[in-house]
Amino acid sequence: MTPMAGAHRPVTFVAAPYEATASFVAGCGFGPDAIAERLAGLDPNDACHAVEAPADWTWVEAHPRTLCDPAAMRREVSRHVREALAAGRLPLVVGGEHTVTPAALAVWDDAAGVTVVQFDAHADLRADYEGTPWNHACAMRRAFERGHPLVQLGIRSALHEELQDVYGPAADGSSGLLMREATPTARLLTRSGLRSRGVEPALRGLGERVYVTIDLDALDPSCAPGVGTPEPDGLSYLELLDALDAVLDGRTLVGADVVELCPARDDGRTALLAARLLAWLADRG
Amino acid sequence: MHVGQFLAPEPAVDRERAWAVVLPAPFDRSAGGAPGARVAPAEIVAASTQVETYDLELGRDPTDRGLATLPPLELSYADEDEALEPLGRALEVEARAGRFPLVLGGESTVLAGTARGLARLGDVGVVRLEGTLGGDDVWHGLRAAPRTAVRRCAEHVPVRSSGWRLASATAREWATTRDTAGPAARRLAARPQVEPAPADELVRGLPEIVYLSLDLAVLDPAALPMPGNLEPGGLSYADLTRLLDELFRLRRVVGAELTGLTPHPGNVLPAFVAARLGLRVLALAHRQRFPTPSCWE
Ligand SMILES: [Mn+2]
Repeated sequence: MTPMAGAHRPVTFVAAPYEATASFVAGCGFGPDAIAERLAGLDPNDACHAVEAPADWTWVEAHPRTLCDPAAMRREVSRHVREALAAGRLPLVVGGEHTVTPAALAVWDDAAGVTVVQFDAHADLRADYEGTPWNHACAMRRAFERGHPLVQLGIRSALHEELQDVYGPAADGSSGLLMREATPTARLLTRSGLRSRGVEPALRGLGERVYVTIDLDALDPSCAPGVGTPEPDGLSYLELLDALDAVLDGRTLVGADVVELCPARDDGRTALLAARLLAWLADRG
Repeated sequence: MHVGQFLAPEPAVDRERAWAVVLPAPFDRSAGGAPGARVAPAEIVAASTQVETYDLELGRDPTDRGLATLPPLELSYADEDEALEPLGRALEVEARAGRFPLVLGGESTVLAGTARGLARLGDVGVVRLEGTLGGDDVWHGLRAAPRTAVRRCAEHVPVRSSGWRLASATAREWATTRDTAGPAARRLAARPQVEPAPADELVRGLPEIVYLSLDLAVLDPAALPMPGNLEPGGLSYADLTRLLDELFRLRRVVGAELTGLTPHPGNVLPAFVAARLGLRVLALAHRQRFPTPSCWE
């Protein structure tokens, strides 16, 4: 036990093993099980991380892995997140594909007051994809349409049209930083932009309440190989922690998720990293 | 072997309406590390369908103004002249028509073929980036192999080979006397307290017009974990994209080849890395050819 144990909000991990629209490599529906195993076995003596699994946490299954109906998934995930909040607990959703994020966000009626901070290789701003608006490539578009301010960090893949939809017709990724000032506001730092400018330009004027969503493909494949669509030149684990520190400095974490773990492509590293991130988020709750 | 369209442009265009063409060249005969390059073009194209056509960091979409992928070349397993001459010819045809050719290997030996076509285009040099210097004269009796590709190339056009971390004593000696060896990987990789060499050294002594020969094994195993790429000390993805960006600012690039993918069942990362690099090379060529994307005109 660290001296801080028990000083934090109790946590509810909401397992959402939803997998209906994986584009390339299947298997993220098995993500929550792999993460649960690692979470239970986190070494509390690892001083490097300075966090351990929270003292008071529960794990609930929002739905069975075989459920592929998007409306039913949204209903079940929302219900479990709402119940956690009602009990005064911090909800941390464990995916599953990125489509679970808008399902969690649906519980906040004051969308404008909850900024969504996204770590991802992909912008995920498509209006629809492969015939459905409830595809993982559309997750942030749904959040944006609900009225959440967006902060997108470390992005290295996007369609020009989806950027233009949100950031305007002149949106040009080569600038490294895209800004939308109209409501809801949006900021996007590309991988190069984050490397050269740091995270601060995207955080200026950011609201006080924050929901963090981490798509594991934000990380470099050398430290997080277990994802369905690996993209070269991602963030290191420590770069991600530094950026999270900056995001949560003086702000309140209202909820978070870690998504898109694909255990079939993993050697155990990515699941452990996901468990560490969840423990880290619990510690900041 | 059937190969789809690189980056899956919508709508697909035929080559006459394209500014750039992808030329699959599944040559796989003599790789030293691991076989499998014959299926590499199909694997890269399949992965490319999961890659956006827009290169976010460059703000360019190389399917803008048309991108076409040709059927794979039929490359024989006979002697090198018979095997690689059709590739030189195909490259020459595309370049003469004003299109930017991107050859998808295939092992890095394909340079021995593309160099033949380049020689007929006039004063063109080759910028080679490979994990192996490539300056041996023969390899197990073969005149065309990854370890001899640069030497074969130099018989047709000037070439400078950089980013290597493997070189035999004879290859180094040959390359040194011919001034063909550019900086090794160790001089091109950024790290704390070490300023990497600029891309100027990749093109020193080469003509104003160059062709890029890029083999994936120039990357470190951390960036590209695949069979046949186990040697430590390679470039990071960021090192490589920095060099490519500088190269396209220094020289006019008439075409490129991307070689050396050895597929490994269950590991999709190498094909994704190759697809992203193909997108980057095309986006850089697009930026060089066209001052603005067509949607802004
Ligand atoms: Mn995502």
